[in-house]
Amino acid sequence: MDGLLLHGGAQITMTTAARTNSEPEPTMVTVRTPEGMLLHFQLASVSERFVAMAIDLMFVGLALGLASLILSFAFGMAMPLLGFFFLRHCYFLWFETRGKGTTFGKRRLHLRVIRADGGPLTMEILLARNLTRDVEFFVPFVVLIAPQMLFADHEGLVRLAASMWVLVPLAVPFWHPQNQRLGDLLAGTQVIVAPPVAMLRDLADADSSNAKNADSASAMARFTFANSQLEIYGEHELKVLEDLLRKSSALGAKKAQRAAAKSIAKRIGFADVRAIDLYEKEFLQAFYAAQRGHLEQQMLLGKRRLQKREH
Amino acid sequence: MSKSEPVVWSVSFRRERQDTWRELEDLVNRCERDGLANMSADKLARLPVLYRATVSALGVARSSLLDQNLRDYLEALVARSYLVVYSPKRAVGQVLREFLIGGFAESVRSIRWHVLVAFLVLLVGGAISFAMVSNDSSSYYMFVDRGLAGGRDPMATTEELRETLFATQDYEGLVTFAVMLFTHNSSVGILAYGLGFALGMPVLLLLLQTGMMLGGMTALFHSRGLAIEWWSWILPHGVTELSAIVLCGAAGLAIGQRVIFPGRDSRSVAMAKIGRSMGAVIAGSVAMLLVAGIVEGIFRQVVQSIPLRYLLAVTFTVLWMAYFCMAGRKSR
Repeated sequence: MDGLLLHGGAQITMTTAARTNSEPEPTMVTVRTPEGMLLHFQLASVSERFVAMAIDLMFVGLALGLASLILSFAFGMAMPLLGFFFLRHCYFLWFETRGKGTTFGKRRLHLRVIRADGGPLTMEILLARNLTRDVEFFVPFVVLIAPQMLFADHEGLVRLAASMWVLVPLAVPFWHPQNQRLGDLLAGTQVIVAPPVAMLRDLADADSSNAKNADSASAMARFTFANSQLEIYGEHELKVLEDLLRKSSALGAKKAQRAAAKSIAKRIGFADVRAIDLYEKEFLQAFYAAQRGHLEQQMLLGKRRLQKREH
Repeated sequence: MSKSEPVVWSVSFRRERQDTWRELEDLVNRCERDGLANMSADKLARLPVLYRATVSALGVARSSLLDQNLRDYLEALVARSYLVVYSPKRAVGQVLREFLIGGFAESVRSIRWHVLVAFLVLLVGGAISFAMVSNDSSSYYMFVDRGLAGGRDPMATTEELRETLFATQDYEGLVTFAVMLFTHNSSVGILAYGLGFALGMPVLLLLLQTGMMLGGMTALFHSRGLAIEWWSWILPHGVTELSAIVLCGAAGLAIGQRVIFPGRDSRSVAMAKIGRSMGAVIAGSVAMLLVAGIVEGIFRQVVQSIPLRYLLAVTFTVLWMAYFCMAGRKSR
């Protein structure tokens, strides 16, 4: 059952290595805080950003429809025109300013505008990135759905050529290695995706674990490991084990845990096989705690083991 | 229940600090939802303390903790708190005031040569079409769009032309017309900002076209001996409106120049620098166009006396000149 612990090993090791060397990855943006801490943000993809914008534009459309319906009774054409202009240009600016780089749509997808150099977002920066929406989206959008509206006097090839030209700004984020759009380039901003992470219980903390009944607590206390038994696995295996323990309610988790417990016991030469059969989860938890304690202690001494020791 | 002595060092590390992290998380959640302005003073005072404690915990976690979930949690929490703690604290009203008092004029002064070039391009366009239409009135339609002309074309009699300069419309028509002009001009100005990216070429065309339209109409009215009336019609709002268009064009040119010649900075840094300050120029120009729209839609229709119209034009010229030359300069 070593296979389970090896699964995806190469890939995960690479990211671990990249993080420890703090090398920038292409889809990450790194920011240095004034405290000197390097923060890594994940860049949002073009599709995520498009969905967020679509949600926002739905709000704009709705507000616009309602407003023009009401206002057109009182003021004729003038107010809907003015409303369309200001909503189009000010919706994103207003909400990004209020929401510190987020809008309704962005918040739903956990997106956020940040400055590429990590500094504070000011209103002029948000203005700069939102002034280009006409060139980048609304005009190309009109060209895509109704080119005759924009190029009424021209037909055929001329219209096609002009349309191609107008579509160029729309394509910028697809070319750009960091998915920046024109407005991002002119404002020096980037859009990141930062989903919130919940703090789960500490698997190595006996008090916070699910050892509620005395039975399993005493079982865990029975599993002790010698230093030599903890010198075999590395950080990567610890992470896989953590995932396995955290997903203990998932389908088939029980079976996987049993298999992992057996394979670990065999590898480290754990004698009391009968106890493992009865308490495989407690065994895994006890081993996780002991292994983590051991590896962390070694880390403090400057010794790291990323991968398990080969035979 | 008494806490058992943890076997693992990182367990006690977490036990001692997790309340701090939870408090910070709660605070950041609230800040993101309600904004910093709605926080009580003692909560706000806690924010930097909690943030610094959590940053240092993240440093420890990265170098010596192996609980992956905890590391991810701290990474995400610090990233979010960082954005809250270091977000700008200035209120929108204050930003707008500073912008109007000096920021706008300063940004404009920083591109004064581009403004000059944009103005010259506008003049050249005007001169070309003026000369051509004066020679041959049928070339008028090369420069002036039929829809925009609104009856001001060579087919009209002199009397009809004079009427277009002094006609009074109903109130609703006035407002609609002013709004249409404002949104059209502003959209064009905002487009010029984005199009600056295309090396400034579309911006030059835009300026040339605007100049030509103006030159063509001027030639028409001059040829019918309505020169004084024409300028009294165009100048009161034109001073503001054309200045705004020239400024937008100049901003587009400045962006185009930085795209081609980024100077000592990398291209992305140079673009971000010029983009930010030119955004201010565009916003100011939109405000100017709003002023122009009000003058055009309301004042000009109400004020029929020619000397009064010229007085209005001169007043606006002086005001804008004074504003752009003096506003926001540090007094010595």
